[in-house]
Amino acid sequence: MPRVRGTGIFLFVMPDFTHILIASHGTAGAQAAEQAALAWCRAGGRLSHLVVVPDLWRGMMGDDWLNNASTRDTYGKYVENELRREIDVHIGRLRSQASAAGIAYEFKVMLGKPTECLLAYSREVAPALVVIGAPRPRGLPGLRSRIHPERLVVALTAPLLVIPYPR
Amino acid sequence: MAEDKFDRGSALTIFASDRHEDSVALILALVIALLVYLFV
Amino acid sequence: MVYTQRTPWTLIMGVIMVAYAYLVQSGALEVVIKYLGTGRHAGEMLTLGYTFGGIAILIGLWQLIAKAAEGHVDYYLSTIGGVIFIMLVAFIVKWGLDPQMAQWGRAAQPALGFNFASVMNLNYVVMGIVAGIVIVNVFKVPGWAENGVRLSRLGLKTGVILLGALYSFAELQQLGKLSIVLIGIFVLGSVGLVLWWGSRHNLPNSMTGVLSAGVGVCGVSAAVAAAPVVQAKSTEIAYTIGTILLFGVICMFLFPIVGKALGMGYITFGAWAGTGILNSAQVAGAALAFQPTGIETLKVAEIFNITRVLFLPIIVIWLAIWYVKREVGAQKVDVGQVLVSKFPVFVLGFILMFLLSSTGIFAPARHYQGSYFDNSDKVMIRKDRSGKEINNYLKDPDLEVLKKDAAKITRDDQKTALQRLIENKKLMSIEDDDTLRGVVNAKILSKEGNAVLTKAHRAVRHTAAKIAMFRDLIAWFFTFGLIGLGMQITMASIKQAGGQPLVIGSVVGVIKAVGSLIVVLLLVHETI
Repeated sequence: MPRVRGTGIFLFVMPDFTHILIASHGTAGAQAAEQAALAWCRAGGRLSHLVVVPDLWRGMMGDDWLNNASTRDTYGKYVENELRREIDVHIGRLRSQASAAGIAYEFKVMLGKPTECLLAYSREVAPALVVIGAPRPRGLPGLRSRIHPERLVVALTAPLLVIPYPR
Repeated sequence: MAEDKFDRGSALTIFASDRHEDSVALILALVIALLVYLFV
Repeated sequence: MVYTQRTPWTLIMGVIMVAYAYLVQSGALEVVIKYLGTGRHAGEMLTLGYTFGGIAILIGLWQLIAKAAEGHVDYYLSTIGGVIFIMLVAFIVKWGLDPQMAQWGRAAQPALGFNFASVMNLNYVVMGIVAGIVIVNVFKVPGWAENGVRLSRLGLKTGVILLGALYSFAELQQLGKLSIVLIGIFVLGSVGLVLWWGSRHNLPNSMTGVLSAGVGVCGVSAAVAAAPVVQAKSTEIAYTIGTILLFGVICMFLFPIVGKALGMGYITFGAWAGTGILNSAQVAGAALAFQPTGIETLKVAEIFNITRVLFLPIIVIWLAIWYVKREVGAQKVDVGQVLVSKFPVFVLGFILMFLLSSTGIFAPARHYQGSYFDNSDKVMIRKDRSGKEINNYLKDPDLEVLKKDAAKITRDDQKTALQRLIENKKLMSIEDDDTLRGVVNAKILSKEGNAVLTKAHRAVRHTAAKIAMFRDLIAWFFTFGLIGLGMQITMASIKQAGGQPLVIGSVVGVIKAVGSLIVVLLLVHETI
C-alpha cells in the first residue's frame, strides 16, 4: 500500500474509473452497490444505471379465466404506473447523488431476466467497470429474481465488482 | 419506459374485450347445441 | 402485424393425428388399445383424430404455402396451431398416459402397498394440467402455439355455458342456495379475518386489502380487481399472487386425495372444492381430478364458482369503502360502474342454455339428469354390433332368485313392485323402479337378489344420447381449457410467494380449507 513519505499517512488509492455500469433496483444490497459505484467513479466520469423490471411480471398480469378485460386493463395500467413510480423515485435519488458528485448520469429500464439485461446493456454502453450488489442473504424478504454472477464472470468484457450485502 | 415493453394483450384470450369473448363462447355453445340437437 | 408464423408443425401434428386415427380404424393398434384398455375411447379417437387432424393439415398447408396478409383471417387462423398443440397434448395424456399410469399403479401396488395412480389421482385431467405447467416452465410454449393457447379461456367459458344444459330446476335451486350460504360465510369470513389481522399487526392497508380479496373470493381474479382500488405496492401484489398460485396448485392436488380418503360423494366434494380452494381456476381442475369419468362433481363445483364470481363485485365495493375510510386521498368508487364492469356475461349464457335444456329438447320427457325410463321392446330387445340379439328381460334363474328372496320384504309397496317385476320380467313403471332401488339401497335381499334388481334397473334406465354427448363435449372443453391454464402457471410467479402475504395467506387458506370441510361434512347430504 503506498504511503505519503514522512507523514505516516496511508494513501488509500481509490480505483478511478471513467465509466461505471451499475445494476440496481433499489433493494438494500443494491443501494450499497450504488454507493460503491459513486465512490469509485471519477468526478466528470459517467454512471450508467440499469433498472431491470423482472420478467416475472409477465406471469403476474392478472390472467385468470374469470377476469374481464376492463378489470385486467385497469390492473395492467395500475401495475405499470406503480412500477414506474417506484423506479422514478429510485432513479431520482441516484441522479441527485451523482450530480452532487459531479458525475454524468444516464439510466435504462429493461424488461427481462436480470442477467441477460445486464449483459445486453453492458455490450451497449461498454463500461470500464460493472458494479452489482451481492445476492440477498437467505431469509430476507424480497422478490425472487436475481443476477447470476457466475454467468456474468464468463460473459462480461469489463471487470466486475460485487459489493457485499450490508449487515 | 416499461409500459411499451409489457404485453398489452392478455395471455389467456385473443379477444379485445370480455363481452366479445363471452359472445363468441355463447355462439360456439349454441352452435354445438344445435349440432347435438340435429345429429345425435 | 401478421400473426401467422411459417411453421411445419401444424401440418406435422395434423398428419400424426390422422395417421393415429387411421391406425385405430384399421385395427393396427388393436394390441396397444387392448393393453391399455382404451377400447371405449375408440369412437372419439376416430372422430377427434380425423376432425382435428384434417383441420390441422389444411391450415398447416395453407400456412406453409400462402403468404398471410394482415387482417382478421390471419389473426384467427394463427390460433389453430396452438389449439392443435393443446389437443395433441390432451390426446396423448387421455389415451396414452392416463391408462398407462393406471397400469403402473396396479403393477406397483404389491411393492408400495397402495395404488399410487388412484390414490394421487394421476388421471388425464391432473396430468394434463401438469403437462401444461411442465411445457411452459421447462420447454417454453413454442411461438407458433402462443396465440392458440390464448383460446383456453374461451374453451372454459364455452364448457361452463354448455354445462347449463345438464341441470334440473330443483338441482339449480338447491345448489344455488347451498352455494350462496357456504360462499357467503367463507368469503365474507376470510375477507373479514384478513382485514382484522392486518389492522392488529399494523400491516399497510394496501397489502391487507389486496390480500383479503385474493384469499377471500376467487384468488388471482380478485387480487387483480382489488389491487388498483387499494393502491397496492408492486411487491405486495407479487407476494399475494405468488401465494395464491402456490396454494392453488397445492390444493388442486391435495383436495381430491383428501376427498377420496374421506370417501366423500360428488356433491360434498364439489361443495368443498368450490368453497375451500382459493383460486377459482383450480376448482374445476380439482373437481375433474376427483371424478374424471363423469361430471357430477364438476356440476356442483361450477355452481359454486359462478356464485363466487357474482360475489366479487360486492367484495370490491366493500374494500373500496373500507380503503377510502382509512386512507386520505384515496379515490372514491362508482358503485354502479363497478357492478356493470365486473358482471360476467357468460353466466347469462349458462342460464340461457339451462332454459333451453329445461324445455326438454335434448332429452326425452321425464328425464332426470339426462337419464330416462323406457321399457318398450324397442330397447329391451336389441341387436349388438355383430348382429347378435341382446334380450334384457329377466331370465328364469333370475326370477327364481327373486322369488326366493321375496319373503324378506315386509313393506307392501315394495312387495307389489317386486311381484309386478316377477310377473312381467321387466320393470313396469318409473315408480316401481324407484321403490325397488330403495330395496337395493337398504340391502334387504341377498347379494344375488340385489344383482338381479340392479340388472332390471339398468335395462329400463337409459342415458339420453344427446345428454351423453353434452357430457363428453363438456369434459373435452374443460380439458382443453385446463391444459391451457396450466400453461399460464409460471414458476417465476409462484416463487414470489413470500413475506406477510405468505404467512397470512397460508393461515387463512388452511382455516378456510379445513373449516369448509367440516361445515360441508356436517351440512351437505348426498341427495339433491
